[in-house]
Amino acid sequence: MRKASLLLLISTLLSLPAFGQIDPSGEWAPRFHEDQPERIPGPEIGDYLGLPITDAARLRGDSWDASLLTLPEHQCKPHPADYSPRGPENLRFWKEVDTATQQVIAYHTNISWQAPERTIWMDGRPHPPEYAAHTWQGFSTGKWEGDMLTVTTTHLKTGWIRRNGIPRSDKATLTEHFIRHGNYLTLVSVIDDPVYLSEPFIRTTNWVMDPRQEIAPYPCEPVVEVERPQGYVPHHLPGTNTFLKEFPERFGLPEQATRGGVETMYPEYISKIRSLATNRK
Amino acid sequence: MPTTSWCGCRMCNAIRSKIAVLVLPLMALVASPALAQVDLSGAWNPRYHEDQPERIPGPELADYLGLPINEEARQWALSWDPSRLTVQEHQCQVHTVAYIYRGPLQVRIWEERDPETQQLIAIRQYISTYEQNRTIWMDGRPHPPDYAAHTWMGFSTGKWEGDTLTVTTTHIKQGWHRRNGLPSSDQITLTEHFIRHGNYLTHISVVNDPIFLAEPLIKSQNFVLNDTAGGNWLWPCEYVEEIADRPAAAVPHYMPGENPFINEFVNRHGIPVEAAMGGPETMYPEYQQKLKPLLEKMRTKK
Repeated sequence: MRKASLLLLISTLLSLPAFGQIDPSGEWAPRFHEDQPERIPGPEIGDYLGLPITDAARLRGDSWDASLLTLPEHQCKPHPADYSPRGPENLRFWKEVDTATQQVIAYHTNISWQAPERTIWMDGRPHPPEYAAHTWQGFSTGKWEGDMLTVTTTHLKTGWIRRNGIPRSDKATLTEHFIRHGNYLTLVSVIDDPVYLSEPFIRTTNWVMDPRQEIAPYPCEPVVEVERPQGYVPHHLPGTNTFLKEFPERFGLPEQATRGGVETMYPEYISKIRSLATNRK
Repeated sequence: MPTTSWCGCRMCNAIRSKIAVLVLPLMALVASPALAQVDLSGAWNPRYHEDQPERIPGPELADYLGLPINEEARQWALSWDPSRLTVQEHQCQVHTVAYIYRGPLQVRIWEERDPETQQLIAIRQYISTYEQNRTIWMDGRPHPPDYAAHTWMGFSTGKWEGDTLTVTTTHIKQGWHRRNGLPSSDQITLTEHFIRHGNYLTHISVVNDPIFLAEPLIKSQNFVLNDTAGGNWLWPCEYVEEIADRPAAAVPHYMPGENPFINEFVNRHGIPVEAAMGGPETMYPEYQQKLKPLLEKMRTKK
């Protein structure tokens, strides 16, 4: 009997987390309560409000024509690792475990939109050298900080911070914190981009566990959507994008505010926007 | 004007918002289960509220009550000496898949999917006791022929019956139905039903054993999802010389009629030996009627 109690105690101790790790495995259904207008219908053209972007990013956003997405080369692009959790993103999380040691080698994720699979290495391997290939999902390594899984991703292809043309460069570093609270999963993502951001860009996204979720494949075949001269790339030359006025006019915002930049992120900007609005009248 | 990745051309502008409205329910439909499948992925911790005395401290010797065993199984069990577990060849002996969910264990479940089609190929399990890895094939493959190797975890195929995962396992090594020597043969077929209710998982197992059972043996176990399961759950087992003066090749056993422990359980609990010897009739409520005169006879003897 004493032996049995001892066995039970040992068995209980063995099942305790070694380093405060949480298991994120499972099917997670997105919640869009936060930032829904940006994430589902999509952001308005020329809305850069609250983004810590540089002039370079703004210029690129202004020259971006939404019709770019009709080009066969762009139709089947997945969202990059930093943007993928923002769209329609039913998420599957699973882990790869070393059979002999039961150490976690990696976490993997699959996201419904364009079905990108991602690997987060947990075995302490270093990131590859700078010249290594840059991909949509980049190269990710993770570590546990208490009950929080912190992931660092480099080697991302050029992507986007907001899907109205605001770019994110291939020099960016993505830092993510996955936090599980029971059946809820919160992701806090921080993007540092020396090219297109003047301060880190921070977002949060939430999911709810959904054991009945079944993520379908995402077959995508490019087709000719618009007959165009070969090699033509839809764009707006500087100063010619007429859509940039739509957003401030519809919402009664000063145009200057919609251009974004670091100061538009902070509460102090409210005072400035008031005076801009007064001047506008 | 909202922009989307699904439609970016100017000619689409007029219908863009309509598409966005349409896409949302479409995405929801795409993400809903195709065949009422449930994801069992995660780490599951056992609950021992059911059958705790049998599962944790372990069953008493010669307690076969409520088990649909036949005479062969009874004979085998009565000749079983627990000291057999001290023999080196038995020290690291794995519980077979038909028994392993009964002991102290943690279970980790994950899915293997085809990366192109996202079809479920297999449901995999890691069971902490004896570090067992189990594969439940979900791709419709057949079971191997009879002569294929029999293993501790056997060969399993699964299918969804509504929200229940039903698994059929064959090719299991010989093991035990109860860990007091009641044997299970290598001819058994194990049918399991995994049923998830939120963060609870119920596992129902049905064992058909043409050699040692007269009727199917049905058991159920419960698990709770453990989202903080970070341990490695290793079970390193190294065999050692536990009994130094045992002659080489000696296997502890009792010859028929010589088991000295046959009366321990019945005496401790005041149960007739006939009842403790089990058999299908001891499973059913009607057995209480038969038990009454047996108990009366015991009292009279005293």
